[in-house]
Amino acid sequence: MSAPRNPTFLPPPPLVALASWLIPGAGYWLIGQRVRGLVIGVTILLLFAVGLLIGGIRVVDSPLMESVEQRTERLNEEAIALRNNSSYRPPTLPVRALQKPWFIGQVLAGPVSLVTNYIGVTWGGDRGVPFSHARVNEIGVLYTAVAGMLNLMAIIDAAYRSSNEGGR
Amino acid sequence: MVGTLLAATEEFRPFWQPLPVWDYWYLLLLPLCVGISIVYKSIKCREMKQVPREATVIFSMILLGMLAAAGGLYVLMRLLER
Repeated sequence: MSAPRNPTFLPPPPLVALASWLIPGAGYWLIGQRVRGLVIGVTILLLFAVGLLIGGIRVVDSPLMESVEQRTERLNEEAIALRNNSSYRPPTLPVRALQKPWFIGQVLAGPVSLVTNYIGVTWGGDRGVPFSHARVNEIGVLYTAVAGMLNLMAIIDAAYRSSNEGGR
Repeated sequence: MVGTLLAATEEFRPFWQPLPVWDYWYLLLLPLCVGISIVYKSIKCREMKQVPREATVIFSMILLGMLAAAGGLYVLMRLLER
């Protein structure tokens, strides 16, 4: 059931890792461990979806995409800071990414996180879809980030198995 | 309680608004623990048929651990309140 399909023709680990990131569980599918891939993939995507259901889709909040209102607010704040302090430098993208570290976990769940973020900032007018607050927001972020971290474990394991003829 | 929940549910737009579970947020940790247990044991177990049993065991252990931590913190808080 979970034995490799053909040990001599397993795909290279980078391809397995990429497939695992693109679709959670797909790496296992590629190395022939379909039941494992299906169980892991479905569970990770369910956790991600439940996180979005609990906190709303704006729990995925990346520094890469902003709504029109968010961008205007940020540029205004930077302009004010620059007026008050001529040596002020606006934060670079890596610095802004570190201000929202939970997105690093969320993006590991795959392109679904980027699509969710895009929908969150573009739908609902200039403000985007409204943010949730307090405990439900925290739990939504927790679910989506944990889904991403679990997918990282699956990516590493599937890539290792592909280099080890399907075994651990 | 049920009336409030129903009223909140009527206005609820899934994925657009947060789930109206303000008073029961701690119960939402249970499905998360189930998911973590399943994925962790699916990665760890050699055979997939071992997963249901192993995941149940680790889920119970997480649950007992969280209950013990909650109980311990509750007792500590009561002691500090005195």
